[in-house]
Amino acid sequence: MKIKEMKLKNFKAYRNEELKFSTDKEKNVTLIYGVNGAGKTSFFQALNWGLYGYDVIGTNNTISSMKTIAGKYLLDELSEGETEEVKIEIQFENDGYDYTLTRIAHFIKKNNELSYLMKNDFLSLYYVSDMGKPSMIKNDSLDQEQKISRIINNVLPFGSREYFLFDGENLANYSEANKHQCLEIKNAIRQVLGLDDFDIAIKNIKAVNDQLRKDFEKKECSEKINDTNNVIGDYQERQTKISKEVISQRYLLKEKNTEFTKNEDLLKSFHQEIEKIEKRSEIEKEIESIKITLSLNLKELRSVLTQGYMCYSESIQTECFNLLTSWRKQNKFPTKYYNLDFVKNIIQNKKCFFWDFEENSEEHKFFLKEEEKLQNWGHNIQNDLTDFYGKVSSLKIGSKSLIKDISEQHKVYVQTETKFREHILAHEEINKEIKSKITDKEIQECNNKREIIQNEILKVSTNIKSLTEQSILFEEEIRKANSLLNSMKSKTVEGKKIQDKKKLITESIYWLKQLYEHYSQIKRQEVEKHMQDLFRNILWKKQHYQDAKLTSDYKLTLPDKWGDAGEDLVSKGEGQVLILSFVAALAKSTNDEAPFIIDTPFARISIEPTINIAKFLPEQVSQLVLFVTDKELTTESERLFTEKTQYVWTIKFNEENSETNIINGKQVKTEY
Amino acid sequence: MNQSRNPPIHINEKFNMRYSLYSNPQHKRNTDEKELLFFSRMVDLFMLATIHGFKEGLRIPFEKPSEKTDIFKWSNFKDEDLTIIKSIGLLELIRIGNEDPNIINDKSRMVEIIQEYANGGFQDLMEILEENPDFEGNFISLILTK
Repeated sequence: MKIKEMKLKNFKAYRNEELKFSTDKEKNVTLIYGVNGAGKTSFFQALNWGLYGYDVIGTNNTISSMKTIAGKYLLDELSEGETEEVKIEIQFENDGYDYTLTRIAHFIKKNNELSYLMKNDFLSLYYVSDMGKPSMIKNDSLDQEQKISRIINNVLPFGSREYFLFDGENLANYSEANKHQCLEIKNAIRQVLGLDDFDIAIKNIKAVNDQLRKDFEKKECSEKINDTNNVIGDYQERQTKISKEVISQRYLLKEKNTEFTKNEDLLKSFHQEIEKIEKRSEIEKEIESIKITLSLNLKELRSVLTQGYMCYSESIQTECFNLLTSWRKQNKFPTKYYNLDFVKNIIQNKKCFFWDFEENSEEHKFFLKEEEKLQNWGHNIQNDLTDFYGKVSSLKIGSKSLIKDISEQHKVYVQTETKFREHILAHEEINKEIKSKITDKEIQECNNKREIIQNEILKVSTNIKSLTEQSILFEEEIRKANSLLNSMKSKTVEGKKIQDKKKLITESIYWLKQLYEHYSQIKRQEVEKHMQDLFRNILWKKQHYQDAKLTSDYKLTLPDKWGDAGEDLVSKGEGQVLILSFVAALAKSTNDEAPFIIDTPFARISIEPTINIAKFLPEQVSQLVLFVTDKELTTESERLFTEKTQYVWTIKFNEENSETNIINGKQVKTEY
Repeated sequence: MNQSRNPPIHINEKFNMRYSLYSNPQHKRNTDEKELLFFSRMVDLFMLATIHGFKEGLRIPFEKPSEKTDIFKWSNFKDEDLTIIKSIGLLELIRIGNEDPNIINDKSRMVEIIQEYANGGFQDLMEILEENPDFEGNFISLILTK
């Protein structure tokens, strides 16, 4: 990068100034004079703000706040509420391209103060490519603003700007810092030579590595897998134990059921036996009852049978009845009323039952004949026979009735007796069936045993149910644990992949660090070489010192010829020359051309080194801009610089209008 | 001929025990032997033996009666018994060709006839009734078939 031209408007005391910079290869030095307080530092700040804008606010060697960049004279010139712009325009070339960078900030006068209007910032970058095509980028969007920042940072990185836009006062600071620690030196090399890119790369890869480590920690479950395997093992052991217990309990249940069935069979046989005994008892009761009935029936039968002789005499009665009947037919005895007296009375009265008859009439003759018959049997015996005839007749009838009674009683008796015999037979049969005599004690024992076995069966069944439920629970736990295990194993596979990636990343970081170390050492040696070349040319006590060294731990040392490198052996001026040599070496070592702009570089450096610097420094850098006071340069050194300048400027502060003007040529008197 | 108004009825002495065995309630009524009381009265057994003897023609005279054989008196006969006895008396005379209705009033003659028929009939009757254990069955069979 070479700065070609710069315009300043309303920046601090610069109302409207511009200047051009030396860009020729042979005359690459731009000398800008200015007494103390003229505005050199403000110009320096304007260049910083112009390039990097808001980012430089509050950083070293730049503006402290945006409020300070607007020219104070605007407060008098602007009306209340009126706005005005602060503008920096920088033209530069880089890598064959021309650029024009314009940055504008707006301020408003409000309450008699100038207020910065942040939202109205303007930034543009105009450039013409090698194909001749002009391009303009404006900050009309965040993307465009970032694009401009990226281009500027690419041309002159923000991190390394302070080593090129160098405040001479910092020589002393760096020199002091070098005595105590090497961090600044190391930072300088890293930033200027682009080693930061390694850091960014390493940082990014480390971030990836960290993320992979977190991912791996999430996936890593080896310990959990072991724990889960142990849990599954434990569950399986317990489940096996339960299964064995279930088998044992089922076997016991089978035994108890068999025992119960046997007891039930025994009880059943007892009950059947009891039923038979009860039935026998019933039969016996019925037999007793039938015996009583039979006895009564027998008694009744005998009571009628004892008169059975009457029936047995029926044939006698019949024979007698027939005899008497024949006797009657022979009129051997009359009826009870038709007797001799009765016939004699009829004959005497000649009067029959319903009519009268005459003597010698047929009726008369009949009754006379009757009288003759009846006279053969005595009067008493006739009556007796008549009476006897009636009794025989009655007895016949009574005998028939008696036979009927006897038959009926006998039938009843026979039925009862048959029933009795049947019961006796049934009794004998059931007696044969009843094998043994069962005691109540045996039945009670059997019933007790039944209750005990039932309780045992219930207990065993409950045990089996409980154990089965436990087994199911364990199965479920094992299933869950296996599912978890599979998930963890799957994660572990992923974890292994992550671990492999992480290993690659770790190796990459290692090799990147190695590369970084290697490259940084090369760069360190390169910087050291340039620094030695310049320092050897600049330094006046050449025979006293060995070469300046940039140690591997990034410390600038200047050993004397005896090899001592104590801090006290180097003066402040020598230290500043050493730093200047180092910074210039940095500028030379960078791959890109960078302007080397130094504000007040020679304040603490004595004459001889300044002359040497004037001789050799311009060769070391592509563009050298020196802000010098009227007292810094000797005549010789000024002559040497001037030979290599295209442009010489003077910054002058006008006390009348409180403005700073940039005037062409040297307008100050060198007082050295 | 002198007629006793209430003549005693005799049986053959050798049947005395048997009569007591099947009847004779006097001493059985108050003992367990009443189970063997086949005939309520001794008269009933006598009547049955007489009828059987008459029907089978088994008139057997026996030794003069003694006090031991005097088992009851004529007055112990019921009207129905007397009708049967009179019938036997009449028919017995007819059997021997003596048609004399007056026998129905001749107690001594009738006593003689029935005692001898009872004597002849009792032995045969007992054999029939004791032919098998069913005394009543034998009895009923006897009276219904003959």
